Amino acid sequence: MFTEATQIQFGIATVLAPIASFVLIAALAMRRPMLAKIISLSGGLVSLVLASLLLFGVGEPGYKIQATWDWLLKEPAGFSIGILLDPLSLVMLWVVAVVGFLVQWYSVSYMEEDANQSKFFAFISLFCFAMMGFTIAPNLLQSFMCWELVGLGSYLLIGFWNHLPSAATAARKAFVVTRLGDLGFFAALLLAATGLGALDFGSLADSNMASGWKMGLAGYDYGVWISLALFLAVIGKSAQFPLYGWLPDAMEGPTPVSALIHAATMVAAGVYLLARTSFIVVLGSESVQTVWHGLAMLAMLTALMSGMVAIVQSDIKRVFAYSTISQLGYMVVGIGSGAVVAGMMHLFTHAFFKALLFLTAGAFIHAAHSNSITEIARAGGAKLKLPMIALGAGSLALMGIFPFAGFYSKDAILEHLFVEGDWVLYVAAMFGVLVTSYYTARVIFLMLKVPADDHLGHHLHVGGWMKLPLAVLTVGALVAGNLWMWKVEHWFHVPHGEHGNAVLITTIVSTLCALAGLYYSARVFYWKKSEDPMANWVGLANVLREKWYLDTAYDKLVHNIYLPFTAFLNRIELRFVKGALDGIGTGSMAIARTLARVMTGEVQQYVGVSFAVVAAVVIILMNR
Amino acid sequence: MELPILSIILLCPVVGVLLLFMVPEGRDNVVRWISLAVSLVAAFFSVWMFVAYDRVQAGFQFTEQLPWVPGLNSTYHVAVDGVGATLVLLNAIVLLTGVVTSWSISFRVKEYFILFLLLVAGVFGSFICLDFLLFFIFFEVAVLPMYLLIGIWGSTNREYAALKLTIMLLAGSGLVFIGLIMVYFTSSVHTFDFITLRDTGFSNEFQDLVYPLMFLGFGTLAAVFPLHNWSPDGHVAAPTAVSMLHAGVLMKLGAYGVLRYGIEMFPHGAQTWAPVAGFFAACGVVYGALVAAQQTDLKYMIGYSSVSHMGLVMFGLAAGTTMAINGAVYQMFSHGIMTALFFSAVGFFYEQTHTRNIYDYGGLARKAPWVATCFIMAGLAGVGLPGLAGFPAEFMIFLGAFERFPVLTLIAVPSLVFGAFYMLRVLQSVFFGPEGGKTPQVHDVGVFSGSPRVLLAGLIILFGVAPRLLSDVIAPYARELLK
Repeated sequence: MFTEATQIQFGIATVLAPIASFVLIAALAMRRPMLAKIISLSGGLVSLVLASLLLFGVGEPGYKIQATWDWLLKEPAGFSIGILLDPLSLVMLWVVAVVGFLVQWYSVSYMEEDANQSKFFAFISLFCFAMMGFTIAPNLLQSFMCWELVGLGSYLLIGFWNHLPSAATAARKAFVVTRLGDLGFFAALLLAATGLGALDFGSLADSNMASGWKMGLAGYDYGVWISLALFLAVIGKSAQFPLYGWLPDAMEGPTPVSALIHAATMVAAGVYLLARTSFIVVLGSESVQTVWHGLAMLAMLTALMSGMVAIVQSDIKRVFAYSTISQLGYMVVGIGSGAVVAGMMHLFTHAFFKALLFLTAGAFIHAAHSNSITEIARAGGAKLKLPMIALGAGSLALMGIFPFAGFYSKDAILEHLFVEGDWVLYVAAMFGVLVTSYYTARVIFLMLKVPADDHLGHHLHVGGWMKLPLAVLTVGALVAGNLWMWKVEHWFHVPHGEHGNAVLITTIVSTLCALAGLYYSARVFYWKKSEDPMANWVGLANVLREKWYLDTAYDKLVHNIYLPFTAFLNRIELRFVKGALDGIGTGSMAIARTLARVMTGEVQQYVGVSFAVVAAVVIILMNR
Repeated sequence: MELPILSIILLCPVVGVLLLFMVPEGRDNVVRWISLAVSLVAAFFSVWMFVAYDRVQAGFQFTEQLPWVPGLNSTYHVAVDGVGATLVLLNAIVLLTGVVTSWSISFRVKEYFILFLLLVAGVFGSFICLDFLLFFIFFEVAVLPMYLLIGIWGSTNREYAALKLTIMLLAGSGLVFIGLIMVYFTSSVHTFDFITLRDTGFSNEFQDLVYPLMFLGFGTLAAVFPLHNWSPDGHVAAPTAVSMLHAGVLMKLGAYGVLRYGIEMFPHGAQTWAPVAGFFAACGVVYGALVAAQQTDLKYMIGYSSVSHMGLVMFGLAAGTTMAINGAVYQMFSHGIMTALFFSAVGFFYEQTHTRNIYDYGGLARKAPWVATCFIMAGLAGVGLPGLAGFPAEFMIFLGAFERFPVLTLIAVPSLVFGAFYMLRVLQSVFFGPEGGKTPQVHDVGVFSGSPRVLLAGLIILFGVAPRLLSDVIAPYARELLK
C-alpha cells in the first residue's frame, strides 16, 4: 500500500510527533494548560494514526524494513540510530500509540485541577517519544538509550507531585533500582560491541553470528553472558524478583501514569527486549537455553509471589501493581521457555486490560478521593456505572475467562508449557491463575459488599474525558486477543503442530482454576460463608503484608550497608587522604622556615643555584 | 594571508588584562563590560575555529610559528588538532559564562577580572601551544592566579584551600619541569618543539622513566586518585566563577597534559604504566562516587563527583584504545560544561542564602524552576543519561576500556548506579519535597544573569543529541594517536 520510503517516514513521524509536542509545550505552553493539552493530544493523535496505518496497511509475513544513520561516530560505523519496522516493532508501536493517546485523553479530565498540568502533558509526551524510540530501535545502542530515557520519563512522572516526600522518594527508588538492572544492559552492550563486533539486531541475529555466540568467555560463552546481562536489565525494568520493589511504590504517580508507564508499556519493555533478542536462544549453545529457562523459573516465582501479595493489599492501585508484576512474570515465563509469540501476545492483551483497570481505578480515586478499596466503596463507588462495567471487563480479562482477551494469551503460554512437557512451570502457572482470579475478584466483591455510606455525602461523577478511554479499553479487554489472532499472529512464523489435546486440556484446567479462585473469593468476600484465609494464616499474611520483606531488605542494604560504607570511605578521605596532605603541609612549613634563611632576595644567587641544578641534571643524564 | 585565529583567541584575554590595567579605580561596570567584550570576541573566534576546523584532513591546523628563544630552539608554535580545538572551545564557553556569573563580584572588581582573564589566557595558551617550554610557562600562568583568586575572593576556609591547592599544583609542575629538562637534554634534537620531539621519539627505558613524572605531575591537576584532595577543598573555597574555571577547564589542562606530553610523547611509557594508571583511575571513579554520597555541602558533592568524572577521563586515557581516547576527550568537554553549570547554579543559590547545605533547601524546583531545571539537567548528564552530553563520553570510555581492562571496567561501571544514587538524593533534598528553611529566600532571576546556565544546559543537550558535532573532530585525532 505504501512504498518503503513512505513507511520509514511514517515510522519516524510516529516517533517524532510526541517529542515535538514536548518541545512545543516546553517552549510555548508551560503557563497555558489548554494549549498544552491541544498540543499533546495532537501529537498523540498523529502517532496513533500513523502507527495504525503502518500496522493495518503493510503487514505481511517476513516483513522487515530498516533505515539507520551514524550517530556516535562516523567510523567505526555501527553506533547508529535508526528505525526498524517489523511485525514485532509495529505491534508494540501500535500498543504504545493507542494506550498513550487514550491516557492523554483521559488525563484531560483527571488532571484538570492540577496547577502544573502543562508539565504533566510535556512529560507524558517525552515518555511516549522514548518508549516509541525504544520500540523501533534497530540496535542495542538505541535500545539502551531509549530504555534509559523511558526511565527518565518514569522518574519525572512518578515524582510529578514531588512536593510529597513519598512521591519524590518513590521516583528516586524507581530510578536507582532500575538503573541497577541497567548495568546489565550496559554490560551486554560492552560484550556485544567488543566480543561480537556488532550491535544491530540484524547482524546479531544473522546465522553467521552463531559461532560468535558460542565463542567462549571466562568459562561460558558469549550467548550465556549476554543473556544473563540482559536478564538483569529485564528484571529491573519489568519488575521481576528480586528487583520488583520499586513498582508498587511507583503508584505514587498520577494514576494515568500508572496505566501508561507502569502497566501497559514501560514495564513491558523488558519483555519486548527479551522477544527482540530471543534469537540468542536459536543461535547460541545449549546452555543458553538453560539460562533462558532459568529466567522463566524466576519469573514464575515472581508471578506467584507478587500474586499472593496482591491478596492482602487494601489500596486498589497496589492490587493492580502487584498484579502487573505477576502478569509480567507470565510474559517472561512464555518467552523464557520459548513461546516468544505467546509472550508477546500476552503483552498485547495485558496492555489493554491492565491500562483499563488502572484507568478505572483512577476514575474511582478521582471520584472518591481515596485509594482504599473500602473507602471507595463506602463513598458509593459501586454506583458508578461505567467504571463498574470497566472493572468487570478488565477483571474478567485478567482472570483469563472466556471470551475475554486474557483468556487467549494466557492459555497460549500455558499450552506451550504443556506441549514442552514443562510440568513444574505448568502446574505453578495454573496455581497462579487461581491466585490471580482470587485477588482480582476480591476487589470487585469488596466494592459490591461494603455498604455505601450515604452520610459521606459524596456526589460521585466520572470526568467527561474519562469515559471514552474507559469504553474503548473495555472493548479492547474483550477483543484484543481476537484482534491479535486475526491480524498479527500470522506475521510471526508460529509452528502450528497438532496440539489438540494441549489446547483442550489447558482450556479446561485453566478455566476451572480461574473459576475456582473466583468462587472461593466470592465465598470469602461476597457471601461471607468462608473465613478470610488470611485471618487463619497470620504468619503468611504478615509475610505478604511485608511484601516478602523485599523492601525491608532493600532499605537494609541502603541504610545498613551502602551508606555506612560510604561514610567509612568519607572518614578515610578526611583522616588519611586529607590528613596525609595536611601532614606534608605542616612538615614543609617547618622546612620552609628553615629555608627562608636561604632566600636572600638576590637574583644572582637564584640564577646561580638554578644553573647548578640544571648542570647537575645534565651531567647525570650524560653519564647514564 | 590567513587570519592568525589562534593568536587572536589568545590575545583576547591578554588585551583584556592590559585594558583593565588602564581602567581607573572604581569604574567597576567598565571593568565588567570590557571583560565581557573580550570574552565574547574570544568565544566568537573559538566557535569559528571549531567550525572551520577541517574534520576530513584532521591533524594540526591553524598553525603559526614565530621565533621566540632561538638559543634554546624554542619557538612560538601554535596549532590545534582535535583535542586542542575541543578544549579551546570549552575554555571559551566557560570563560564567557564565568564572566557573566562573576557580574555580582563587588570586592576589588578590577583585580578580580585581571586575574581571571590572566588565568584564562594561560589556559588558552596551554591548549594551543606546541612548544614544551612555552607550554610550561602558560601552564604556570594558568595555575598561579588561582591562589589569589581563592585566597582573596573565596569563602569557606579559603587560605587553607588556596595554599593546599597551590602547593599541590606546584609540586605537580615541579615533576613536569624535571621531565621537561630531561626531555630537552636527552633528545638528540635539542628542541622544545612538541612535534619534532614526538616524531624523534625516545628510548623505551627513558620513556618508562619519564612517563610517571608526567602522569603524576599533570595527574595532580586532573585530581587523579589519591592526589585529589586539594580539588574538592579548592572548589568549595573558590568564588563561583573560579570554581567553574577550575573544574571546567583547569582540571582538563591536567588531563590534556597527560595526553599530549605523556601519552603522545612517550607512547611506550604510557603502555608500560597503563595498568597502574588504569587502576588508580578506576579507583577514583568509584571512590569519588561513593564519597560524594556523604556530602551535605553542594560544592563538596560536585567536587567529589568531579573526582569521579575526571577519574573516568584518566581511565579512558590509561586504557589508550582509540575508542577510550575518543571518550576521554569527549568527557573532558562534557564534564567541563556540566560542572560549569553546576557551580554556576550553586553560586546562584549561595548568593541569595549564604548556605550550600542541602538540608537548608527543599522544594527549590517550584521556587526557582529555571535554575532548578538547569541544575537537574547537569545532574542527569552527570549520571550518564542518554540524550545529554555525559552519555556519549561514558559509553565510549567504558567501551574502549573494556577491551583493554575488562576487570577494571567492570569495577568502574557500577559508578553509574552509585552516581545515580548520590545525584538523585541531592536533587530530591534540594529541589523536591517540602520547602526547606532557606528556600523562601531564593528567587529566579532575570534573563542576563540566567543566560550562562541556559546556554550551558543547551550545550549539554546539543552535544548529547548530536555527538558527531564533537566526535568528528576528536575521532581522527584518536585514530592518529594510535598509529
